[in-house]
Amino acid sequence: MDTLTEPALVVFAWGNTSRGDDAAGPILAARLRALDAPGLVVIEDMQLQIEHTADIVVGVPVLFIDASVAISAGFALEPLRPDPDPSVTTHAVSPRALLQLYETAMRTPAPRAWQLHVAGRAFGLGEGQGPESRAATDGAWRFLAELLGHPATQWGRELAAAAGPQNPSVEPAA
Amino acid sequence: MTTDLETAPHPETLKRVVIEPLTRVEGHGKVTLLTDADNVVQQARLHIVEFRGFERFIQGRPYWDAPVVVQRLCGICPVSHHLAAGKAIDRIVGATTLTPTARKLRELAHYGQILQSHALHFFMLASPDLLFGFESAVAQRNFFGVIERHPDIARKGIRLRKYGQEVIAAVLGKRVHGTGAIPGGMNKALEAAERDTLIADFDPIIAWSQDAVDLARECFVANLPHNATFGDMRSNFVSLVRPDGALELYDGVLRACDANGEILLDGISDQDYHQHIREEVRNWSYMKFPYLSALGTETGWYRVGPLARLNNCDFIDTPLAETERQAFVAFGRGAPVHATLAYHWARMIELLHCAEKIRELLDDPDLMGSDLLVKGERQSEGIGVVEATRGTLIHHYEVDDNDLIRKANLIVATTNNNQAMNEAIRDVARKKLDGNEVDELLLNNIEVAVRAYDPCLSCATHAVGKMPLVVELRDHSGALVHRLSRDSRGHFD
Repeated sequence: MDTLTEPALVVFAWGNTSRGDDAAGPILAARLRALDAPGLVVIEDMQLQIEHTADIVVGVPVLFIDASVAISAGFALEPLRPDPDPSVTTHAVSPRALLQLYETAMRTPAPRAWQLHVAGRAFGLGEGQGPESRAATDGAWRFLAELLGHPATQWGRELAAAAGPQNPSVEPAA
Repeated sequence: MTTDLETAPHPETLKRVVIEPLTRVEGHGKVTLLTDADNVVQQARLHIVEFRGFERFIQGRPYWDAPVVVQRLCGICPVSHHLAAGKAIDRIVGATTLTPTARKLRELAHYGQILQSHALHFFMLASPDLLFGFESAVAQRNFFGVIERHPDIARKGIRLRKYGQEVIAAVLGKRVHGTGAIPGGMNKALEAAERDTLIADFDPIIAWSQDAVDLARECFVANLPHNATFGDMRSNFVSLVRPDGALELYDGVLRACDANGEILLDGISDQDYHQHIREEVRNWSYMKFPYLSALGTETGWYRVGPLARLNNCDFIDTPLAETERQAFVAFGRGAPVHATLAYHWARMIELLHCAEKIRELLDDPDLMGSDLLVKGERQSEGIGVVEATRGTLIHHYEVDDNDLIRKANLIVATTNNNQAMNEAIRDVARKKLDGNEVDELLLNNIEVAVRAYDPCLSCATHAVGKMPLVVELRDHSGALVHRLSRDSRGHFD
């Protein structure tokens, strides 16, 4: 780690620790916070909302982390572009809509962004995280730990290399 | 006051229209309409697809866990559940009166929660309909349209929401899943630096809140009489009030008035709610229908939330909001305002009140105290009632000798407004359904009516962020007459 104090990567991780596999986001957020890595900004919530646009920093890469039914197992990194999908008028805004909201409201291009999908299957209230989800979360954590082992100034570049701009690892969320 | 469209005499002879799920509403709901051969609505019902898992989730846990775990019931109003559970658990440890510091810290968190939630609802969910009109182009009638046409309004909404979250984080320690309220008080004092940051960031909040009231009022009165009769009904109203009749959101006594404003109940301790409020089960809905027991199931249903609170209180104890309340009362000529769309106007008056109260509390020396806990004689039962964003929220627990919660009962605001939301869609369907085609305009009008109550249906469902809309009109034999769908990108087919 270097001694960078300016934000180098903003991470949004969300979910509900009492809803089975939905715990993946908060678990990874807690591990990231524990690193206390200079330049790493970690924001945890139960779901994305409009005020999170104010947490995005001009030109600073953004990584979204959430449990996902878009993949069947493991984890996957997907490059994101702003998109005005209708989730912006619900209580749970999608990452793409949040980026679009940022661009539109702030009159500033959204920074480079990716979503780390952690496979999940069961989201029932009061359920614990399933073994497949725990394994996927651990796999995602190893990926993140390796990423953050690079100098902070290279985190965005490493994410871009891992995802590939033209080869999204998962089907874009509908 | 009971409906004439809840149950048709011969539903097997009618056409069925199904709308599911509702958009710009948290969670999932479904509307079914039955029409006769002349396309006249004979039955209209709002079905909340709700899983009653709250009680099972809470039962068996140590009572001191309740304020923490109930926050995970809902991603929208975790602070309201946290405080209602905290109040109930106070009673378990015999803490009937908190220290001034603990009480004011909880109030500050509560005002922050209502400020941010009201801002989200009005600016993001409701303002597209109010600013552009229900019949405007779908492509424009969303929050991106608001940003493009009214960027200043949109930014104020975002910043108000953000400030409310800052208040919550400062008091409860974290923006989500904070552990501020514990049995008998609070576990964290407010640091001077935290208070100073909130004061420094506060400067534009009052002015923006006042602007929001002005906007809500102007939108409402600009299209009279339509807005005054949209989702039309007359109802009773229930809310907490302060014992002196002031608007009260955190702790007070229960008051109910009838459709004419006559007081039905007053000064009722929240510990006695179950003597006055009952819940009816109907075979076509998962969600119960609360009613005032003295009036019975037919006429005892009521509304809660901002409109109920404004109609029920005698005054507001902050000057700007009180001025706005008086204008609201003048509009109703002294009688309760029944208009469904007036919920938005009342909501913004409350937003202004919360902003004023936050500023007042930040200057209150009690807020910075360190005396945070009280205890009393252990009890086996605890009830906590708060006025949550959407209305009266009740948590009721029974605890066994091993300190485990044996029984839990929660009545959330959306349940309290169940009958009212059904009445609203019946009025809209009666007025707007015309011919054999279900069009986007009808759908949006129904959604606007439900959205005014801001029902929070996500407490027991996992929100996946995908809300396609499918409407089917079928005749009595089940044959498809017309189908309209809206995909997750808002496109119609």
